[in-house]
Amino acid sequence: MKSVYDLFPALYEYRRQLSSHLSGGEQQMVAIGRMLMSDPQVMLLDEPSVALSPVAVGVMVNALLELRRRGASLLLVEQRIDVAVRVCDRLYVMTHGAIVGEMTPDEVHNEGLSIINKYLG
Amino acid sequence: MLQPLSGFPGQASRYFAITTFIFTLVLTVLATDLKITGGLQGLLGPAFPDFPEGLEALGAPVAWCVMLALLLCIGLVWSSRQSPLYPVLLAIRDAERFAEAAGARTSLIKIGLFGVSAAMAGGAGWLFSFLGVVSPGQFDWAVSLNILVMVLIGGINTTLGPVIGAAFVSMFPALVNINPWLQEMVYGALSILAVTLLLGGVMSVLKRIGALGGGAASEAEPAASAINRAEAPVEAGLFRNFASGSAGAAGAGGAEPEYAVECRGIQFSYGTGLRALRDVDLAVRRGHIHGLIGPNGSGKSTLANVIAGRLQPLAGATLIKGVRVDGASPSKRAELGMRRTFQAAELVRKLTPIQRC
Repeated sequence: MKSVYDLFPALYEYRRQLSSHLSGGEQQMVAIGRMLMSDPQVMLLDEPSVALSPVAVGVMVNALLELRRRGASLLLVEQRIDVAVRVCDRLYVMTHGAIVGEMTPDEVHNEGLSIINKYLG
Repeated sequence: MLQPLSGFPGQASRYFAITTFIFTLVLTVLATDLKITGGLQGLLGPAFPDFPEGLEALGAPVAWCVMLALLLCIGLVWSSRQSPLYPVLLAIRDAERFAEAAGARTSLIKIGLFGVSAAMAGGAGWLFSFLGVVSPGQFDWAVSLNILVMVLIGGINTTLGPVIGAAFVSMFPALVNINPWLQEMVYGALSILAVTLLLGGVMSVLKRIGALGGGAASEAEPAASAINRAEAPVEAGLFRNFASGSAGAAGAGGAEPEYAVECRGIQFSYGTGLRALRDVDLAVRRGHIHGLIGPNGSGKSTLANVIAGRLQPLAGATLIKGVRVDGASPSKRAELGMRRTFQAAELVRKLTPIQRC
């Protein structure tokens, strides 16, 4: 429980509010915190940054970086390339139902977004 | 008896509700036409045994049995609302995809609950048969509608609300001698009131009055007490009680595999349309974060749903922690220690973060 509050300090403030009264970003934090409570060995996050404010995205990225530091096994489905590049060890590019490219964040840093755009067209 | 089978393995609730309603109509028609049920006239029910000599002053034994049955039902509902199962039921109601992904056997729980409800209704029918003639006309769709009205007026998702609603609907015609159609209009108006201005029906009004006096329970309290009793987080503890095994158990027993998730040659299409996934190969190394990026409609979430077990691929293999999980349900995959989140957070409305964790 404490580790979840460490990841998402805002949740401590909202710990007694009904989930229906939380914002979209706070609800995503609760969803991830809830998942972490069961000490999962494999995690799958489906676009956790969708519809979040820039501040909430920052909190989310920090939480994912902390999970990465803890050695989480995690597949992050993400539309925001900047978020994926910051937290992932490896990236798969998907389009039209197929994996069309695979790279490391370092390759993206070195070559820029063109490395991804060449796959996406 | 057939309903749980027709619902298996967990049809969407709305279809299940519709088939249940149609099933009632079919049974009514059958009961009207069949000789074995006495046709329109129905059958005379058996006589209930009398009290032994000396106890006649207690009145009709069947009335005592009905009262006992009512207390048993209230006790059953009350205890289930206090049990660790209650938050799981809330999760199935509000966020079934999450409940399934967290390891709850949602179909089994729903069918089990339907079975318990059917048994309670069957018991009520058995007691009803002692009251005189039982005919098909007594079980038409208006009965189902009246039961809904009882719940709405009394207070949905409360223990005593339906009892209050049932008392009102049963006694109203006797207390107020009005036309049946006007009576139905009163029920309708009260039901509309109970789902608009007075959400929660009579019980919510009583709670508000109690709250003014400082003694009422909050809306979330049943869930809170259930969780406090269990002294375990919703996902970490409660679901394990209702899941088919403990998280990670299936993957234990050997060296940790190199890959947490592997997809090999996954193919999937929605119906007969375009292929949503084409021969997808992907591997997530243990202890690493891998990202799947791409534009809208590229198949990312479809692949996530295939890995989580919500969608079954047309071809290919999925492995979680080295274990092939082709055809396994989301709850089975949760046994391997897999958890997921959704684009929509899939939260249980009546729980707070602290109750959830």
